[in-house]
Amino acid sequence: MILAILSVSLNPLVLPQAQATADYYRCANKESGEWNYGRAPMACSANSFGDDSVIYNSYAQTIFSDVASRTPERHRYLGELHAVVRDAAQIYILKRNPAATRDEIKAWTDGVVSTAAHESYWSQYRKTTDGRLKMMRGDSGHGHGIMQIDDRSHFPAVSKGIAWNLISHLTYAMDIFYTGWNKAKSQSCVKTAANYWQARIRAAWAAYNGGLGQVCRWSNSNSSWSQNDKNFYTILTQHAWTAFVSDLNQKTTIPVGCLMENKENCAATAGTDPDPKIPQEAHFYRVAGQLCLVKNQIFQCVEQERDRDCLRSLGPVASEDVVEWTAAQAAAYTKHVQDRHLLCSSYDRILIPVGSGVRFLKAITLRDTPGGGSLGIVPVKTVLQVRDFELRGTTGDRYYRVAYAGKEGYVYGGDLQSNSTWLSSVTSSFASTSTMARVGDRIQVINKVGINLRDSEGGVVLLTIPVSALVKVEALSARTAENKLYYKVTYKSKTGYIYVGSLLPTDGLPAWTKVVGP
Amino acid sequence: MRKSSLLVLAVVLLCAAMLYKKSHSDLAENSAQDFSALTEEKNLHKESAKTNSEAASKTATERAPAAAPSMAVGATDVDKAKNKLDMLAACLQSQSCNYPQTDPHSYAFAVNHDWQEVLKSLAAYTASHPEEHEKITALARESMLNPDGHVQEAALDLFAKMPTDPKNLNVILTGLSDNSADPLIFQQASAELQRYSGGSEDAKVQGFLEQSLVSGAQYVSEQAAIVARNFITAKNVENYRQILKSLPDGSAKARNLRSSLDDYEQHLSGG
Repeated sequence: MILAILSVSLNPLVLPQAQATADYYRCANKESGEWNYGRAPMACSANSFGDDSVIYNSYAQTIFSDVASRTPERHRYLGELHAVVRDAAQIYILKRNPAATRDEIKAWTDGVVSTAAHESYWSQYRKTTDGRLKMMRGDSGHGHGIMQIDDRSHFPAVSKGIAWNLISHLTYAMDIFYTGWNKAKSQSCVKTAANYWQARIRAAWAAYNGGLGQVCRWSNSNSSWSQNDKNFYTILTQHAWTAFVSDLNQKTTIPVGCLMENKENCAATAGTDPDPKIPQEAHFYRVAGQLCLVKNQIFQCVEQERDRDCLRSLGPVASEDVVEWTAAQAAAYTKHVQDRHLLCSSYDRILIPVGSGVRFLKAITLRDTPGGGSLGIVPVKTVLQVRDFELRGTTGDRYYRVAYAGKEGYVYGGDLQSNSTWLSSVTSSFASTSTMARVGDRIQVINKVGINLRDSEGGVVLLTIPVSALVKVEALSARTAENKLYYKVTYKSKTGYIYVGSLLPTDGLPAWTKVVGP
Repeated sequence: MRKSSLLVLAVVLLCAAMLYKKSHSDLAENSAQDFSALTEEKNLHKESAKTNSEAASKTATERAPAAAPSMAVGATDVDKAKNKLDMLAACLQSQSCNYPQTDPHSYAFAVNHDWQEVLKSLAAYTASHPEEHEKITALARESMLNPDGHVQEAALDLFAKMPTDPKNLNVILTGLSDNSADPLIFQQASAELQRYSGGSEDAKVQGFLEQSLVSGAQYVSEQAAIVARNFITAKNVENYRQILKSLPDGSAKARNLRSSLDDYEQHLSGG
């Protein structure tokens, strides 16, 4: 016990085994609250699990302000949060069961909303009177946020920031809730119930609250937790939150669907579509998962929404909000899909490209996602290679993906003004060794059929370099949304580019070449 | 023991005691807030918290606790391990063993933690006792049907040390269906499923992967699309292309599956 306490307190970033985390694990600036909507106790600093700027940029309207007048703030907060939870639930059930009936969608949504009410009084983010942004922590600090994701059972997810990020949190929690939802339909306590949907909700919640083995706990009045089940039933049937939510159909500008897929960095959704048939000049459109800027009635697109700021290199943007269009609406218009590497480097001349080296001018937190959970600290003076980048906002905030100490994650590289104080671009030959070759390294071809030498990245084939051949890397470059990596090499007097695997979603380099060293 | 060492030990113990006391005084303060007079619905939540603390006090005195199984590893005997697991299974069923019930999750977490420890002790034992593989495999199968991710993690580790067996695969697929929201277990299990792909059980493996991709949990389906690259072959690549067409545009799983398919094709063509 003593050693466990000491180990956690002295080295909080050393991840213990999947065992009992300490009560109020990584809970800084703990503050109480009240058993009422939005302020359930306790609350701990949110930045223990992610960067506050992500919450302020993406979820500002779902932060409960302790300094605002209480009752109006509660009304405002619940209206906003109800819209988000409702949308998330409806999007989710149709993902899992596209054939879901109207009754199932309604019951599922009711179940999720009621679960959030019981678990936390719909409490996630709160700005307390000390000015800090905090997150709700229940069950002696083990339960995180609105759906009380438990850090004993879901430690890796909590550490990565999944519980901290509202939409990731809801998605992850609904994944668990759905397991109970699905199991419930075959249980006699549901099949024989007078009110099938109500029984199914109660069963799914009991499984969520106590584990899959407890799916029929609610039908056993002798259960240790029968009072919890009765309380949930009251919440489910009385919907007390309707006293605070004046418009149950209120819309949210939070792009719930986009965030469920991309986790971070989605643009707010425009409230209305100016014209469903004619795209507006200099406006952003979300079409079939791609993000496009309309210029001269042409859709200039990037494959992933996170690269949308790079589209500014094509001209001014009239509105930051995104209009949702279907592929059918856009079918009549020309669409160009831009390569993110070429587009973003032309937009931001100081962006450090994939493959280049970066020297750390200060110790920087390595995060699972650009704004998410901490994986460790990269020390000052470390030199690593860039594996991915992300630009955010007109301030030019930049994030680079690197590999350090056996982990891959993102580090913040400053903005347009401050970037030179965070990282400096250096030749990759100074970088630590990794699966990615540095300029000057020799590599051995691993791919069984060899690798084609091309006149440019993805260009015309000059010859095929056979398996086991050794070549020297002269330069690195990347293309496409998956960060396909190319090495410039010379083989049998011909100089060209070889494809050596993609860096996203996972490192595919080891299956193509082996880095032998200089 | 030197005086300085005693002093250090005393300081350490004092710090631990202070931390322990602080955490419990915070809980007491919370309980006081819990029971202040508020609206009826607020009382529902407070009653849940009250139930939690009442159940915790019952554990020590009013329940008839079953003895928690000894976790001493020592020279692990498979039969002893089975006895321990039987006791733990009974504990899960009865919910009345001497494990903490401070909240709805604490009891199962503690029981399953001990379950996982028993399996971990068997993992070390396995390599040097091939004559016990049949019994160990039986325990792994039973454990895989426990939907707790930590127990399944240890069970999968045992399966990986054993020869393949269609009965093992069936149990693994059933266990994964019960713990269908766990992307880490899915990732670990995919390495085990690879041992069965291309063989007589290939159809089961491919069917499970397809289901995970198309209608699985969000985080699991994203992981399934990534591991798919290890399962794509000339025989099934067209099926995966059709699956990709059916996935929502812009979804993470579609992106990941597209990348897996591209990776397969690039490897064949030389990039």
